Parts: sequence; C-alpha cells; structure tokens
Amino acid sequence: MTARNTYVRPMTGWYRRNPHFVAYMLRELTAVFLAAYAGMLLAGVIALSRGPEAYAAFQEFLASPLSVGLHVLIFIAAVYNAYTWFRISPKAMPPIKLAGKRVPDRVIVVSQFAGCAGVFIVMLLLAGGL
Amino acid sequence: MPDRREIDIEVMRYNPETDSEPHMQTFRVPFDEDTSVLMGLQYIKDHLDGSLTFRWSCRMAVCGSCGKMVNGVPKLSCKAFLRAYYPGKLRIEPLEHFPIVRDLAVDQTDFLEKLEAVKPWIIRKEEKPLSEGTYLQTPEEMADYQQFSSCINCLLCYSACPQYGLDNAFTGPAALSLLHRYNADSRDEGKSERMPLVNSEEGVWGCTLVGYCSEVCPKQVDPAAAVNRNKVNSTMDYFLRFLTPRGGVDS
Ligand code: SF4
Ligand code: FES
Repeated sequence: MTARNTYVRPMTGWYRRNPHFVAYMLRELTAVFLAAYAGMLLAGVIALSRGPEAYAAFQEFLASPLSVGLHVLIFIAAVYNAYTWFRISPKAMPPIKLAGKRVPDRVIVVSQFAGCAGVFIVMLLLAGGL
Repeated sequence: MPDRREIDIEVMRYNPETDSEPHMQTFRVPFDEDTSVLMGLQYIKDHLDGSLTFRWSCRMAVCGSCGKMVNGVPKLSCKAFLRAYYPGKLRIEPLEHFPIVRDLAVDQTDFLEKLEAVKPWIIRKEEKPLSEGTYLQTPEEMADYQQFSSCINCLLCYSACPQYGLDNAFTGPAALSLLHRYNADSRDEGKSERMPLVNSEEGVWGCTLVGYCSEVCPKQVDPAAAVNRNKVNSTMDYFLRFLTPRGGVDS
C-alpha cells in the first residue's frame, strides 16, 4: 500500500550527520590500521625467511622515524578500537548470571578495562625487568 | 504566570499533492516549563497553521506514535520539552529512513510488515485446553525477556539505524527485539519458526553494531543487545544443525 506520493529522503553524507555515526565510522576505520600492523608483522616473517640480511634491513626499517610514527598511530587506533568494543561488548554476549542475578553491563565493561590494564602492566614489567 | 518565553520551531513541510520535495517553515511558539515539543506542534496547529500534519495520541510516552527528529535526534515529542532547547531553536523533521506521507507523518507500512514477519506471539506446539489453566513462569524466567517486551513500536530505533536507512530489507532493531522477546519466553515453542529470519542477511547479520538504536530507545529495550545476542544464537543454530537429528536450537 505504498501507492501514495511519498517522499524518500536521500542518505548522502549520513555518517557526518550525528556524532554517534562519526564515532562509528572512526571505529570501522581503525580496522585499516590494525590490518596495516598485521601486514608489517607478516613482512617481518617474510624477511626472516629470506635470511639475515633481509631481516637486518627489516629491523632497520623498524627503527626508522617513519616506522615509529606509524606504530604510534597504530597504537592509538588499536586503543580506540578496543575502547569502543569493550563499551558495547555486553550487548554482544548472552547475559552473565552470578548467583541467579544478572551481572550489570557496567561491571562487565569495567572488568574488561581492568583485565587489559593488568596484562599491560605485566608485559611492561616483563619487558623492563626480566 | 511569570514564565512566558517564545522559541522558534522550524518544521519540515511536505504536501504530496503539490510539492516535489520538502521545505522548512519556521513558527514562533510561546512556552513555559511544562510545554513539550508535541504541545509546541499542537500550538502551531491550533493557532498558526491548521494544515500541519503529525501523529500523536497518549501524550505520555506510552503509545509510541509521536516520534519525530528533533534537531537531528529521534525523540518522542511528548517526552521532550521546549525549555531544553531554549535559547536555541528547534528543527523538527519526520522520523528518518521512512518515506514522508505529509509534513511530519511517515509511512510505517514497511515496519508493520516486518513486525508481522517475526511472529510476535506465543507459539505452542500443542495448545493446552483452557481447563488446564494458564502457562506458569517463574520471576527469573520472566526477567529473561521483560525488557524486550517494553517496546512501544515508536520506531525511534529505525531512525537511529543507518543500516536500515541504507537498505530497508534489514528487519531492524524493534522487530528483532520483539522476535527475541518471544524466543526468550519460557512459554514459547516457536523458536525454530523464527530462526530462518534471524539467520538471514536481512536478520541479525544486517546489523554492524552501530549501537545508536539502544541510546535513543525511550523504553530501555536495548535493541542492539537483542540483535547481537542473536548473532550468538544464529551461529549456534548453524553448527547445531550438523549435530542434532532435526537441526536447530530447540530440537
Ligand atoms: S525498541 Fe525502543 S526505540 Fe525501538 S520501537 Fe521499541 S520502544 Fe521504540
Ligand atoms: S503521544 Fe504517545 S508516545 Fe508520545
């Protein structure tokens, strides 16, 4: 029954219309940076398989300002990606019940950040001290 | 009566008989602490332009018919107040992603068809006779679906969903929440009838978890949760069909 002379509004530029959509598009964009990082790791493995010279060249590239800058960018993107997914993860999992009561979404979100911070600190200690 | 301020309300107008596209028209409306956006529109209709067309009924956030875009955000116009926008102005448009019938009224046909398609009623393999009494349920079993049963079909979540706007084949947040409401009900036995829709591209997999639907929902239904939990159910359903004789989640 859509014979009426209705008007359908265009979707052009929808991702600019609302801060929520901008944040969503940024989240999706971070995937490109994560893929770039995976590509870099793969390049390292390939360099390793080609012998010591190739690997030394790869290490040299890693130490270059370009690579350091890229790593900083990728790190920021990865943190933002994790942040957005941690925030919405309670929506993507079946409700968790403890002693018959549903664990509140906020507790799930906070414990993910806490877990991540814990792992980060352990890794820093391992890298620095041991 | 000291509090008598005025605010500009810009309203989208569209007359299907004469206009090829909508345009905006501004009205100046008096308001006080209690004037809702809906009352502002009613003031325009009663005093300034009787031809302004919009839907409403209960004026108390129950019926779900007064949804509009207010400054780009989907809102129940009876639950939003003019004072919150003062001294700025308001821009009121029909709910996004739906065809405009006239002014602020949209065509809801597409949603109504989707709602019917999810079979939003309790399905029993065998109805028990009335003489055997009602179907019983514990408070815990009720808690599993109660939030999803609060939906008032206001369509704010569809206006918050760019995936629906880009391709309205997607079943969308409210219909999928209501589907989940019945699947999660301990009295229901119709899950296998609803799973093909859940599993399809038009079902939960059309969702990319933008998540804005849950923010705008006036009834805390959390449609994004209903949709995304069913991605888990849909995946289980897919693998279970290889393991169980008749396939599917509830066999
Ligand atoms: S899920 Fe919420 S926003 Fe969507 S139609 Fe139902 S009540 Fe409205
Ligand atoms: S008029 Fe009923 S919800 Fe607003």
